[in-house]
Amino acid sequence: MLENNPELQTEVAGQIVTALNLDISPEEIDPEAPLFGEGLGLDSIDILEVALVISKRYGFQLRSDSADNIRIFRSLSSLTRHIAEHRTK
Amino acid sequence: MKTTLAGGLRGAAIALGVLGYALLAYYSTTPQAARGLPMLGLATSLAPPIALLALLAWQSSRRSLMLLLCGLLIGSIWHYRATLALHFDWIYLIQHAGTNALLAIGFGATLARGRQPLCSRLAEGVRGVLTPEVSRYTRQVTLAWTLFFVTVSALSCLLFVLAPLTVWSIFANFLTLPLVVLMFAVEYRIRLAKLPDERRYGFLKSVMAYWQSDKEPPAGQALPLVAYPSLDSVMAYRDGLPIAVRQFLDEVRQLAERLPEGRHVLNLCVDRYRFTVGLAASIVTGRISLLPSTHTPEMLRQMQQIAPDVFCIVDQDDDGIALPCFRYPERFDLGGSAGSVPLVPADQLIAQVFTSGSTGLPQPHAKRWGSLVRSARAEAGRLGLTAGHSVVGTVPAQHMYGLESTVMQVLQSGAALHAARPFYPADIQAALAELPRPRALVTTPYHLRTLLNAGLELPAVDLILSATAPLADDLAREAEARLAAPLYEIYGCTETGQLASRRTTAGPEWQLLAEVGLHREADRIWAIGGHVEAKTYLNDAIELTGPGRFKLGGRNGDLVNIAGKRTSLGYLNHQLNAIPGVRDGVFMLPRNDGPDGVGRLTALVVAPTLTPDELMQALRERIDPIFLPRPLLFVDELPRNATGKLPANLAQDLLSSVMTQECASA
Repeated sequence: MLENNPELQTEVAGQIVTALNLDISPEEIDPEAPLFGEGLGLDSIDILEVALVISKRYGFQLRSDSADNIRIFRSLSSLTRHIAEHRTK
Repeated sequence: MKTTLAGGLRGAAIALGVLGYALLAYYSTTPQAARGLPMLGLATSLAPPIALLALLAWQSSRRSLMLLLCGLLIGSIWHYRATLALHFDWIYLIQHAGTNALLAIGFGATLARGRQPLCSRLAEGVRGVLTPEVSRYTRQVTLAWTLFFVTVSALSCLLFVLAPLTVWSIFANFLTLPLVVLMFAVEYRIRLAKLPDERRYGFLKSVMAYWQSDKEPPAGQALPLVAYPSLDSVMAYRDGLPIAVRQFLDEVRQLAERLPEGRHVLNLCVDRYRFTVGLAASIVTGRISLLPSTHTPEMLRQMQQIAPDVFCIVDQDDDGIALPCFRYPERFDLGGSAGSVPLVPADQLIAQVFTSGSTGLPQPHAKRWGSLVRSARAEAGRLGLTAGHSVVGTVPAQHMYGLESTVMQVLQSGAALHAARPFYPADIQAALAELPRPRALVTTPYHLRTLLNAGLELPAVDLILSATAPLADDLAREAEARLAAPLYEIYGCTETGQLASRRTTAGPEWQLLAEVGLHREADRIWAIGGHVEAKTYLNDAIELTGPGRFKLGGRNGDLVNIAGKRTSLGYLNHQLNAIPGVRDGVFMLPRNDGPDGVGRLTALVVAPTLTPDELMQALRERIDPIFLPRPLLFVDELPRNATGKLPANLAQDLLSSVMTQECASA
């Protein structure tokens, strides 16, 4: 597993805030807090929205048939790791 | 006329018989008769149970054996008649106190946790659906009857021991029945006072409905569970493998045997094939599927209040589901026999589908088999879906649109369903590519837009179906071009199911499904005909443009539709204001609707003791995440007018000023 990349993490946080029009700044997202439910409170529509941005920016498609799907969106840092592993651009 | 007369005569004869028996039984317990005619007491006390036993023996499948046993019993009673005659009063007591005790147990046992109270079941037989208010009321009525029978039974024993036999006899023979009638009368008065809408449902109607529910349906009014050319036809694709109707029916039969007790089912299977097996197993065992609009903890609590015997069928982790869960079996026995396709009575209640209602309580809508099948066939006929088609759905099967278009339509047209519920665009692409052509995609404007924007190479499709939110013309044109298929939209609502379709690129006019009609009455548009069995008014601005044709305006102002999920502002406001610590609060519609109906709601709230996080957590328990306010704004008070109303323009002004302040301080 790759080490976490703070620059990429900040960039992804920025993408989430912009894509979802959240009224917080990217630095306010706790990297380890859940994105779904009680943490940031994202829902499935948000996940699709974020997935769309990720596919465009980093050049790979998310799939839900992997058991990792829940793990990927568990937190900002896990999402960042997943992007670092799979990005093509 | 003849039948009324015969019925009246029969009623009079029964009443005379009951009165005659009571008089005779009473006379046999008077001191002189008890001493002088003990055989009369014995005969009168034993006549009802022996008659009942003889009747049961006559109706038994082993009639001669049972009649023989009956004869032996009568013989031995005759043999011991002298001894028995000395204690005939005990036989009376056992009958009277015992019957009431049995009734008390019969009613009381249904009050146990996880069971449906008897009176709720009776009421459901008449109404088809139970609202939470009625459900609470019928539970109380069941409790009242239980206590009544306990009291009568206990009083019977007490009088027998403490008072002379004649006193007991007056109570048992002359007071019990009038007391029962009095209970009915009192219950009816209370019902009229507590539930004014229930006037239509009389007592006799309830009993008749319960009686009918256990009887075979008249021939010709049953429709098959599935409609395939042969048992070897493919009805589903799962993990890349075809599943034949034969295997499906076999698994339905096996699952039906394994389902736990409880007549109400919350089928939460994500896998569409498993959902379908669960639904079919529920149907063939006479169970009722509950389809609430969301699955938040608060909604699950309300489902359990409506149907205490409800259990869930789950095929994933059931963390956080506060209801009894039945895990969908990982495997079934192999090589079972499928048998034939079951026939289902057209008037059988299959599901209760819930809308949010405006009072904070979910409103049920009854779905019967005949109506569901007719609607599914009408839809398949309109879209040209036939045996050989296969269908991918991006919507869950647990809502009306998904149920009708990805399950019922498929089963009733001989097509095949894809078991997966693809989520990401790449999932949808892969699911479509797995299926043989012709193939259909059942989706929503929101999923369609994400699919087209994902920059994927999309496989050719033969039919696209969209519903739940209006579809923009340019999105429809792009979808038809990229997927090389005609795109149809379906219009309908939870109350009526689907009503009409249109090819979006061909113009704004909708065409009603076969046999469905719309008409204007008292400034409202009503639907009736075909699968719409009861006249239902539609909550949309509809302009009738010709026979079977109409145009659609906006929705009624109270309704909220975000990414295909529906609720009402009234429901959301009720849930918000029910949270402890919230003094006042109001939800507001998005200022500018996003594309495809994905604009978020805002809420203004007065809750000085709560933090934003606490309030959001409490809301999450109660409403679907998609309706959570974004942003949620705290204010000191809402600009309500003298009558307590909140004028929309004042609320909007307050919202704008708070938003500006937030921006300035950020």
